[in-house]
Amino acid sequence: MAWTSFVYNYAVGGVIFIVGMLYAWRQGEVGLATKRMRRNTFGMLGGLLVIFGLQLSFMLLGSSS
Amino acid sequence: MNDSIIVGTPLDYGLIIGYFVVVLGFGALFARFTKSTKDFFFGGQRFSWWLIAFSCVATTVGSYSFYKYSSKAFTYGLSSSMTYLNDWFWIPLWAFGWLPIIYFMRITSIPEYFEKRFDRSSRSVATIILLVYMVGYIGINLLTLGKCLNVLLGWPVFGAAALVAAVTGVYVMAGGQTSVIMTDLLQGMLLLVAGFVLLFLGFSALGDEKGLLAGASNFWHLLPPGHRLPFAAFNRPADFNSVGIFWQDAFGNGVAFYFLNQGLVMRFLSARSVREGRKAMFFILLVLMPLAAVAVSNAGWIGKALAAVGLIQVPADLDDIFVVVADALCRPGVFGLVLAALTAALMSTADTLINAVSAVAVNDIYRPYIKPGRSDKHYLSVSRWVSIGTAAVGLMLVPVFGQFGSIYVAHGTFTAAVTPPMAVALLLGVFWNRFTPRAALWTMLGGSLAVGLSFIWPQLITPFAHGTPMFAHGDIAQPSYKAYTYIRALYALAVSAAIGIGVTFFTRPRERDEIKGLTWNTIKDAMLIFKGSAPNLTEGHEVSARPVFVEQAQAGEIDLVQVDPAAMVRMAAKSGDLVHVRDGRRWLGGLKSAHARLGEPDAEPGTCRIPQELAASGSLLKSKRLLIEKII
Repeated sequence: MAWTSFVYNYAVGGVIFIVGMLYAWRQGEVGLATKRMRRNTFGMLGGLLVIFGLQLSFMLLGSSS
Repeated sequence: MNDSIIVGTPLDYGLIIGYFVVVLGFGALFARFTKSTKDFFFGGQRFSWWLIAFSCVATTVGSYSFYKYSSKAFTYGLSSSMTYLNDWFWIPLWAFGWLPIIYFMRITSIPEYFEKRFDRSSRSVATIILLVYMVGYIGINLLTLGKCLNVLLGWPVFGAAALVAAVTGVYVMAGGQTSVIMTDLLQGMLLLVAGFVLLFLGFSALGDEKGLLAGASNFWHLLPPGHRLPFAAFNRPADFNSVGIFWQDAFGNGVAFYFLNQGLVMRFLSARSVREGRKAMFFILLVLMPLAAVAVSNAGWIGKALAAVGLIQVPADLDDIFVVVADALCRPGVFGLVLAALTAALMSTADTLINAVSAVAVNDIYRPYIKPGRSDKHYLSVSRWVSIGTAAVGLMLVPVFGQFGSIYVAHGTFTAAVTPPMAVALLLGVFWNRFTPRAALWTMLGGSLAVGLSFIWPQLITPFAHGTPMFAHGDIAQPSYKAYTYIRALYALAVSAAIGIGVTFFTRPRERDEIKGLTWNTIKDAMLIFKGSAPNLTEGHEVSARPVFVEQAQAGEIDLVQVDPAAMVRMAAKSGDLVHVRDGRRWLGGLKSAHARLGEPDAEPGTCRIPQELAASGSLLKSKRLLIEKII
């Protein structure tokens, strides 16, 4: 059941995140064209990956022990 | 627990009293930086990201957090951290949509945004909802700490609440937002430190003199397997399921907190630039919130392991597990530190709300309706007295909220019901140009009505419930208002969104010119309005310069500063660009600084010509080098 929670959290939350990134892209705030856009893009995606990685690690650690 | 009072030692009392003295001293110290209503409410828009970040965490963690999360952590394990790690999804919309709008449009309050984006009726409804929410929140926080000090030290609930209200009200009155930020920096660090002290003491106790690592390993193996997972079960039990908490916390409370909470909005408006605000939020969500999750929950996790080896007795009321664990692990003095952290958690939440209520009361009621056109000094004086009055009203609500069986359920039910309609109105307003004023009004009124009906007929929520049980204790008959505590947020969001979208298609939107700078795709217009000319978005570098104070400003403009041509190139700046000039000592975090406009570049190499009046307003010193950064 905890895996269902994990998937649901990132599936629904992911939609909000993607919508936000699309808005930011249309404003020219994220993308790969300039240094500022790359910094914003990698910052946003990197942050998401850190939180995702942290929770995934505990899911795997907790499930295996 | 109330009949088994744990009384601290004189050292613990001394620490608490010393703590109050330090906080009041901070208030008095930073009062001299408050010279206008802009300073009082927004700290002069001058602070660095790290000051904003730490003070925001102190605001986020309320006094009840240690109690509530420790209890859930003891019962359900690591999944108690869910609510602190589910806000990242909102960051693109917040950082690239909402923050630049409120910053560049100089929105002083959330109701003001509602009037500018929609109309005066929407502003009135938003003002009422926000004031009810914030004053009630202050009362709940005061009651929580009153109860906590009653259990720990034996002080009367109302007396303890009155003492904290008085201290908080006085330093907010004296120093406004600057005092709030500075004291919250101290308090944010204190509560994180106290939380981690408990964790290390717990590992030490479980290590059986073999060290912290052995203790951590024992801790992990003593946790029941289900407690090692960071997510709760999907839709069971009713009082702690991940789907309900996801909608209630990540959606309802998340939007309410980061987009609607007047206190938080004011905190980010005190940043020296939008970029600093974004950095602060990044650091909060990525670093400080995970740390705060551990700080507030670990007494419960450690308590579970300690109970498994018989080192503590499990209390009958699990809300008391924090106190039991702290009492078992702490020596005199350390216990005082933990008490100070609890007090810090309360004061740092209440001070933000007091300052925020004052902002709404003065900017949304007093200034436009009661005494328009008075001097800023007059409004500053009124703001100070409103701060004291707000603390007093919050205190008066303590006995009212004391009637509820559980503070947190009362508060959670209250906020879940109040905030979603307003959250939907705001999000649609920011991210959908077509969204109409009439639709905004009906989203708030109709959404609130629908929520009210769900308290009478909770069956309305069932289609949204994802299979979560209606009540916490199965089939036992319970009052209908206790049904679907968390998942009500999804119902409220869905109904409010349906009303908002539906009404929009039958009513007339405002012209694009009327909402310039107020929606996500008109942010360039907001920058233009903020600066008064085309924004310069070319990235440059910060420059350091020696200050040269001048009596007469160039062209008689007191906010005009001049640097040498090389500095202009390094900043990628042109005459007329907005800059932030601050004392070069970075640890001040922008406390001594001012916003200015660049004049023609004819200063001596390595110097910055700055009008005396501007330097005085920013508390800048002739003997200290300046750091100058182009804003736009």
